[in-house]
Amino acid sequence: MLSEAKLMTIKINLLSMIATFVMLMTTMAVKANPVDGILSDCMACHAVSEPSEMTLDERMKRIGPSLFYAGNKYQAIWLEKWLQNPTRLFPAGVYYGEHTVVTDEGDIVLETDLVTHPKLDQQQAQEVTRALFKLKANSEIVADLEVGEIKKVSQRMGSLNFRKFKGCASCHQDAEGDGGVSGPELYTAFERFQLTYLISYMQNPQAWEPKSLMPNQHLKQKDVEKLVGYLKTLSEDKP
Amino acid sequence: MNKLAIVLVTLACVFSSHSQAEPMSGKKLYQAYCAQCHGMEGDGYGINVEFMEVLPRDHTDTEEMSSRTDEDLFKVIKFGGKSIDKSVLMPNWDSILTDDEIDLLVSHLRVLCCEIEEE
Repeated sequence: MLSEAKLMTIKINLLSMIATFVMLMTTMAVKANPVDGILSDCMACHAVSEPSEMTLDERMKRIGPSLFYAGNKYQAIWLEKWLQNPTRLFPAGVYYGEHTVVTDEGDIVLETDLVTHPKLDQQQAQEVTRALFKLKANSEIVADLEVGEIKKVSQRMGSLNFRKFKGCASCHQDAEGDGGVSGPELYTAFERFQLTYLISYMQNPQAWEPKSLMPNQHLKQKDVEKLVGYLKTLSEDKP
Repeated sequence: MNKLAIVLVTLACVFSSHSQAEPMSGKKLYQAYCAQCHGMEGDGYGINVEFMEVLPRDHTDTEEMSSRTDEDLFKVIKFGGKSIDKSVLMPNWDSILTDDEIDLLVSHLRVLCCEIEEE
C-alpha cells in the first residue's frame, strides 16, 4: 500500500508532466508553419503565419493585411512592382477606427496617423515576392473554383452597378479619391489580385478572413463576374 | 503543497491564454462595423458618407429612432436596407453577426438614441 504522502507526490508529478506537455503543445502550435527569414521584418504589421485564433479584437488591431495566403491572393507581377513603389491601398488604414477622428464637419481620417509601407529595392522586392508566394493557406477555397471568361463592362453600367445597385462605393473607391475609404481601393484590384481570389472573396469574404469587415451579400457568381468585369475595365481603360 | 499550487497556476495560465478575448459589447461591434458609415458617435456622419447618395441614419435622432421597434432594427441589421424597403447601401450583416451580437447592437442603438442603459 502506498502512503498518502507518496500518492500525493505521484499526483503532483503527473500534473507537472501534463502542464509541461500542454505548454509545449501550445508553443508548437504558435510556431507551426515556419516562414522564410526574409519575411521577419514584415511580421510587425502583417500575419505571415495563420493565427491560431482570429478574433474581432485581433482584426481591429491589425496594421497591415494578412499575408499567410499571399501566394493565393496577389499577382506576382503587381506585388514585385508595388513593393518597389508602394501606394496607399487602404485610404483609412486596415482598421479605419484607429485613424478616425470626430470633428464638427463629420468624421475624418487622420492621414498623418497612417503607416507608410517601406520601399524595397528590386532585389529585395523579388526575394520578398518569392517568399510570399510560398504562403499558400486557403488553397482549398480556390482549388475547384471554375471561372468563366471575364468580359469588360462599360464604364457607365459598371459604375452604376458598383455604386447604386450593389453599394460597393460605400466602402471602396473605384477611382482615386472617389468612393468610400474604410475598405481597400479597388481601381487597381484587377491587376493586384488573382482572379480566383477576387471572385471567391467577393462571394464569401469570411471564408478567407473569418473576421473580415466585408459583408457577404450572397451574390450569384454571375453578379460577381459582372462586378469583376467592371474592375477589369477600370484596370485596362485607365485614362 | 507549494508544488501543487505552482502546477495549478501553470495550468490556469496555459488554459487562460486560449480565452483571452475581451468581452463582446454592442459598442465594440458598432465601432467595428457601423461607425464607418453611421459615425463614431452615431450621428450619421461617418468617414464614408462623402460619396454616398443616401445619408446613413442618424442614430442619435431620438424621435426617428423611437419610431423603430427593436424587431425593425434587428431585421435591418441582419438582412439589410432592402429588407425594409430602405437603401441597399445598408448591407446585410447576417454572415458576420450572430443573432446575439445583433441584439447587443440593438441595445447599443438604444443607448445612442435614447440614453437607455445597455443590458
